[in-house]
Amino acid sequence: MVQSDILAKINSPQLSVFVIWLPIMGADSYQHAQQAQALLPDARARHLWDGRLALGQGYRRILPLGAECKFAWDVYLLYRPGGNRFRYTLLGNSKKGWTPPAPDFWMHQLNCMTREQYFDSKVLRENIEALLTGNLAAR
Amino acid sequence: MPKIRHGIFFLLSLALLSCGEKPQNHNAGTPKTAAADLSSDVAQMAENFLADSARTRLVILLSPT
Repeated sequence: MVQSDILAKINSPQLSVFVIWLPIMGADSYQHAQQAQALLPDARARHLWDGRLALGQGYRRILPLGAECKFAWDVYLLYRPGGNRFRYTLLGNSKKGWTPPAPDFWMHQLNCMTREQYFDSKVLRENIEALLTGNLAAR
Repeated sequence: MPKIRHGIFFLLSLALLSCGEKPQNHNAGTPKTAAADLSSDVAQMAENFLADSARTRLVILLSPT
């Protein structure tokens, strides 16, 4: 859906796509992630396997997800052009964690969340196009 | 009496061993050699990706199954 409804309809080389595959379901594995890359074959997309859920936990910390959401996944985050830096955070258990920068726009498909900002390919595409033309206000 | 003491010591040892932190195996099934485009150094890669200030960036987090 993301490939056909969004990426295939936006030809701009000014868009970069970063796909992070996470072991959320019991059967999820690196091998499954390798196979799943075929779902998003866009040349601008870079695929990564987050086996330790570093980014799933990092984004969980900055997104207003429901209490039942253990990790951030099935989420779509947009960043406008400009520097966005990660921050190191000292967690309660003394382990350092990644705190990613807050996105300018985001959507989700999580059951543990309300329907607010629920994924809609048309809305996401319009927001990407707005960012590409510099017309998206920060949210 | 020494047998009872020995038994108590054995049971205490077992209990202490079972209280230890279990290793978390988040990487089960992950090959040691990663393919070029599925790097294991995700945090650094993400940092580099998001630092590319010239472009609009879309980040997607998904389960592969």
